[in-house]
This record gives sequence, C-alpha cells and structure tokens, in this order.
Amino acid sequence: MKALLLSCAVLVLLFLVGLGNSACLSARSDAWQRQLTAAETSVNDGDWSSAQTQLAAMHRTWEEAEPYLHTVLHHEEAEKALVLLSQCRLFAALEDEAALLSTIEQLRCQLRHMAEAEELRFINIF
Amino acid sequence: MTTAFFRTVILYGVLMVGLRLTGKRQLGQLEPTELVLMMLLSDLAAVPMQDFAIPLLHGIIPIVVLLALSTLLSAVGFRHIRFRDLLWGTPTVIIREGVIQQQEMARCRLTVDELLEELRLQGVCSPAQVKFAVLETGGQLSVLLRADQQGVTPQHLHLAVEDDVHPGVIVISNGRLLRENMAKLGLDDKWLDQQLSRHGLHHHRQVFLLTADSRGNAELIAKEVGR
Repeated sequence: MKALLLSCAVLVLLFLVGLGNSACLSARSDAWQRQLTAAETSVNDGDWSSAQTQLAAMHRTWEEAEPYLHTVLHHEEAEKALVLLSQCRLFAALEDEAALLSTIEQLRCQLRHMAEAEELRFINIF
Repeated sequence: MTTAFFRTVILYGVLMVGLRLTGKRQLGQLEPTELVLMMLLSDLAAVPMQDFAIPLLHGIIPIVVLLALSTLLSAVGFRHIRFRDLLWGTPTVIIREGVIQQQEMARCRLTVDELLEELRLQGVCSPAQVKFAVLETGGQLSVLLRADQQGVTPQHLHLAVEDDVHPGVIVISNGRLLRENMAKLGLDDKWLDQQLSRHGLHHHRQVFLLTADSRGNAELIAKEVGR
C-alpha cells in the first residue's frame, strides 16, 4: 500500500511541477511580450530612448530568469532568444527601425515557441 | 569537464537510489517489463550526460517517472493476481512427467536445442529424467527431477542428522570491527580478546577476516605482513 501511494504521489507531484513550470514560463513569456510591445510602441512614436530603456529592462529580467530557463528549457532555445534580444538592443541603439521591428517580431515568435513547448498540449505530447 | 563530472554523479545517484527503492528483484531476475525499464533508464541517463545542451531535469524527470510507474505496476500486481498475470505472464510447464509439451514450447517459441541446453546446464541428460520443467516468467527453466533420479538424502534413509547449518557472521572485516554483528551474536570484548590472543594478535586492525556463528565457532584470518 505504501509503495502504491508513494509512486502515485511521485507521479502526481511531477505532473503538478510540470503544470507549474508551464504556467510560470507562460507568465514570464507574457511579461516579456508586454515589454516588447511597449518598446515597439515607443519606436513607432519615435521615442528611441524609451525603447532602449524598455529593452534594457527586459534584458535585466531575462538575466534574472536565465538559471531557471536553463534548468527547464533546451539551452539552444534560451540562447536563441537571448541573441535576438541582444540584436534588438543593438538596433535600438543604432535607431534602425526596420531591423528592430523585424527582430522584435522574431523574438516574439521565439518567446511564444518557448512557452508553448512546455505547455500540456496534445501536439507537444505526440 | 566539471559539468560532465557533476551530471554523471547526479544521474548515477538518481539511478542507484531508484534501483534500491525498487528492490533486489530488479537486479537479479529481470522480468520483461523490468528489462525494458533497465534499457530505458540507461539510455535516459546517458543522453543528458553527454549532451550539455539538454537540461539535466529532462533526464531526471523521465527516470523518476519510469521508476514510479514501475513501482506502481509492481504494487498493483502484488494486490491483483489477474493484473500480475497480464503484465508478467504465468509460468509454463514445458515437460510434464517426462513428456515434452510441444504445444507449450511452440507457444513460448522455445526450440528443442534451447530446452536440451537448459537441461544439460542443470545436469540433466534426458527429458525422461524430468518430472516437471517449468519456464518461469523471468525466462529461467526450473527443473524438478523424478523421485528415482534425485540424490539420496538422509530423509530417504530415515536417518536423523544434527542441524549443523549455522551461517557465519562477519565480526571483523579488513581490520574494521563490526560491533553490531558482535552484539547480534551475544559476543563481547572478552571473547574477541580470546580470539585475537589465540592467533598471537594484539589488535583487531591486524585481522583480515573474523567470522563467528551462533554457536560461538570462529574463523580468523590474519592480515598478511606488510598490509
């Protein structure tokens, strides 16, 4: 009985941890998406300084979350997003609107992909 | 380098703890489901050990899930006979009263060569000598010889023999004194000193092996000089 309960408890715990991880990653992804939207709006308004500040703030939160991301995601996925974020900051510093907006879109896709990969979905399982 | 080192240590630890928790049967007699588990575990452990781009958790979580599932199936199988039969199968009688059950052999895909090899390995020359041969769920063949083919025992001769089976317990192993085992046998330091002085030794560190049984019989092997 003990073995039965223990193994069930381990499986339930792992399942809940998986769900928690999915929710946590989605929340972080949504927060970064909001920061990217704010940066995009600033660029469209011609406020480059504000866009640079938004992207720098996003970079800081990314660095804080990096140990967690490397624990739960394939490292290449996290690295890819970080490279895109660094490119965004570079294009914002150069005030290259077309390149920045294009890279922001790529970064959005990458963030969505990262969050979706951890979600409990049929296509992820099969 | 250090990454590989720590990953190996962690995954090895997880596998060892998991195997200890699933019991000794896992190591000695592998059932088909257990064999699959072992194969999966080794593969799951090896991949994150070699590929640093894969998070360690991606190796640990499947391993823990597999071990939990295996324990769950064992626990359910322990309580429900039908489930156990479904999962691990049932033993099959291959030879009954000296007669090979050909249909059962075909069902188990056991060839005559394999059967005779197994019999020879157990010191049996002919199926006619066998009362029952059972193919166990773990794949081993259990052979029970006919009464006239079995060795003579004191019981057959109606002889009363003294029960002299007293397994020895290790008291000193490579110079290390195991007081717990001494206490189990009800032995004290005085007994130990007697054993040491009988062999001209002064300290338990000079002993390579000392065993004792429940009747107080002891066997002592001293360490070689220079060790």
